[in-house]
Amino acid sequence: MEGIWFPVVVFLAVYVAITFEWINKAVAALLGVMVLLVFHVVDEHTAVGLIDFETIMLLFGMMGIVAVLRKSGFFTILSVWIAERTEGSPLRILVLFSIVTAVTSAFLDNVTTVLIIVPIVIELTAGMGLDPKLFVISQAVVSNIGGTATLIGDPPNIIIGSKVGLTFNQFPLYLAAPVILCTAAMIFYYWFTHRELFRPIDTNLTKLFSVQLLLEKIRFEFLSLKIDRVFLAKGLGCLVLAIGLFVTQTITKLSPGVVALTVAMILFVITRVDVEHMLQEIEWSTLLFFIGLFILVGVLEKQGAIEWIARNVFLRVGDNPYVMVLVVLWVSGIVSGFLDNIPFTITMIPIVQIMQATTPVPHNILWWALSLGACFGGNLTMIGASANIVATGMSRKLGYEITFLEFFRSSAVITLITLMICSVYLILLLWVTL
Amino acid sequence: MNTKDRESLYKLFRDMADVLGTSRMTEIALESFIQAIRALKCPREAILPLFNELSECIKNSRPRVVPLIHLLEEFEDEMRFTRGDVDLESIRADAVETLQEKLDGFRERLNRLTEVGAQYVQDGDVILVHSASGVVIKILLNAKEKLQRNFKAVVLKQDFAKTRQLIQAIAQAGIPHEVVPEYDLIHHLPQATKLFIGALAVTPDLNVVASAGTANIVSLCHLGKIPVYLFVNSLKFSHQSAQEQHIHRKEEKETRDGLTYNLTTFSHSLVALQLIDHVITGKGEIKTTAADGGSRDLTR
Repeated sequence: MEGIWFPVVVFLAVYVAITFEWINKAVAALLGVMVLLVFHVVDEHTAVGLIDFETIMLLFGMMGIVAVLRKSGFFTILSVWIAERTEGSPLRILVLFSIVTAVTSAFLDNVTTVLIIVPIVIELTAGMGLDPKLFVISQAVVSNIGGTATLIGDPPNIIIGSKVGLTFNQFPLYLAAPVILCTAAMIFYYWFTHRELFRPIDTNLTKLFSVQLLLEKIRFEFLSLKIDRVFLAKGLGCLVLAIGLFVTQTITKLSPGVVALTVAMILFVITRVDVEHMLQEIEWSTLLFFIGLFILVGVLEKQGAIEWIARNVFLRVGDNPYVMVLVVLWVSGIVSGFLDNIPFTITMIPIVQIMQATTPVPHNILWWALSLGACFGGNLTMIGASANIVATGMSRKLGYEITFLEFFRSSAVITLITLMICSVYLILLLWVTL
Repeated sequence: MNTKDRESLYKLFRDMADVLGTSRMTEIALESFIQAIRALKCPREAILPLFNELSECIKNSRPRVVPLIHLLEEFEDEMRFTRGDVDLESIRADAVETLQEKLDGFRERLNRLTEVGAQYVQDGDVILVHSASGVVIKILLNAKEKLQRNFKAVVLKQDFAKTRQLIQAIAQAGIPHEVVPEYDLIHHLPQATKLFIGALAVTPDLNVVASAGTANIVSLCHLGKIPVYLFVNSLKFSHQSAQEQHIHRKEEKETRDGLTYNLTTFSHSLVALQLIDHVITGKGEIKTTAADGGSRDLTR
């Protein structure tokens, strides 16, 4: 135990700095790594070996694909198309945008999805005289729910998939059902608790008139950029190719990281985009943050700290698989609500590996519990997930400030509901398989 | 309709007029009206109060959208909501048909105005244009594409959102143009030959309600002896004075670089008709000096 205190203290210091946003999170993580290198806790060659390049390649590749797709205007066309389909019905706005956000978040980055969807949702709802805040919160929440359905939908899944070696198809196979159920539950909950807000407008001539005007304004504002159809087709073609290769991973034996990065490079070449400009769109700080965390957690693992936590905290709950699954789910859910779910997932992976080795739970159910907990838990508070921060930031910029408490009031209950749905789902899954 | 909804609608009117111009906004409003009537679900007896609510709301918008109000009044005269023997579906069909006629008529007037207006563009002209007037854009496009006139446009840019459509349209049509900040107008006066403007309304007390900033530009052009052309269709001649046009006054707190101040803005400018050299309608030019009488005639 003696040698592990120093890396543990460094790790906790990094965690605190990230949580309270004292410094940039990438800088915090890399500074922690540098402290370990300077004090010879680890040497640089070992440190580099601790980085999971599979995850980094997957993230980098997907960021590249999303950057090109964003430039193509695809998201804007999609959002305006949905806005038209809502015909100004508040309930349709909630349902259609939630479905689109959930599906888009499953295949692309949540932050990009809310960045495009939220301005249109605000324009539409505020223009109709509705309070846009609930709609903004719902889109952030549903992007976190939708992102859980696939390996590439949310960073915790990317990490779990890459580090544990789960295939692309396994994620939707086991997670699509709770994601669909939780999306439906979220829509029902918001409708049920705000029925007055979702009253139909088709009995009000003035509102119908306003909505038609508004849709025209949205069409003009958001579709005025020139759409290059060839560029758009190439972007979508490559996205379909990437998803196709993810799905056939067991046949092609190509890992998701290799697929994403290869497709991104092909896309850069065939669309002849300004690569320098595209590289500026890559979230380098996120990639560096991942690199730093992989090293920090790797060192903790090497020093035996992770095993100590696993044995003294998580394995204390006993060897009942039902209890283990629920503990992983609820601890992940609650902790992810207050801490960044990326470092939390990276920390939890070796712990869950030890739990799995001690008491094997079939069908990777412990991993699904970690994924559902880490992703859905992000909905608990405004700072729980990047999509929440971006959505509320965008809302503030457009004149609708959402406070921490306002977000919490609208998201806490639905987070608990979704975690309860997941608990029932995982218990049933375990019961069927045991 | 509550005050908040009403304010949302008026803001929508202003935003759309800012970026698309009043004529295009009027067209969209009529199209929206048709769509709204088609989608409306209500009992037969509710249609009249619902229509009255919308009509009252449109007529009191800030500012008044004069052509839309005129068309709405015509529509009211022709529709017979109060007739007891007509069922809801017949009223709906009648209303849609009447509104479609109004829309077609309005488009015809616009086409006539743009055809007449294009004739005021001559080879070698350097035309100053500003803000998003749908009519002025169409006139320039007609002059280039139909009449093959060789001229240059100088776009006086204020807010980008307001001039975006103008710049896009003339660039796509291949019209030689230069985009300059509105406050630099003085440097471009020596080369300019004409200023083209559109308007929201012409009032009987000889004022023009035009997009924000127009009064300054017109004044400067007037001083620089640059002829000012105003293109308006007859539906823009209002019954109400300039004061009754409900130009929207907005006061808001703004913070820039740590400095907070109250900023007061108006949605539109008021331009004295006497500063305008040529008033062009779909029927041709009317004398500025006779604009009062002219406007009264047209209003009637």
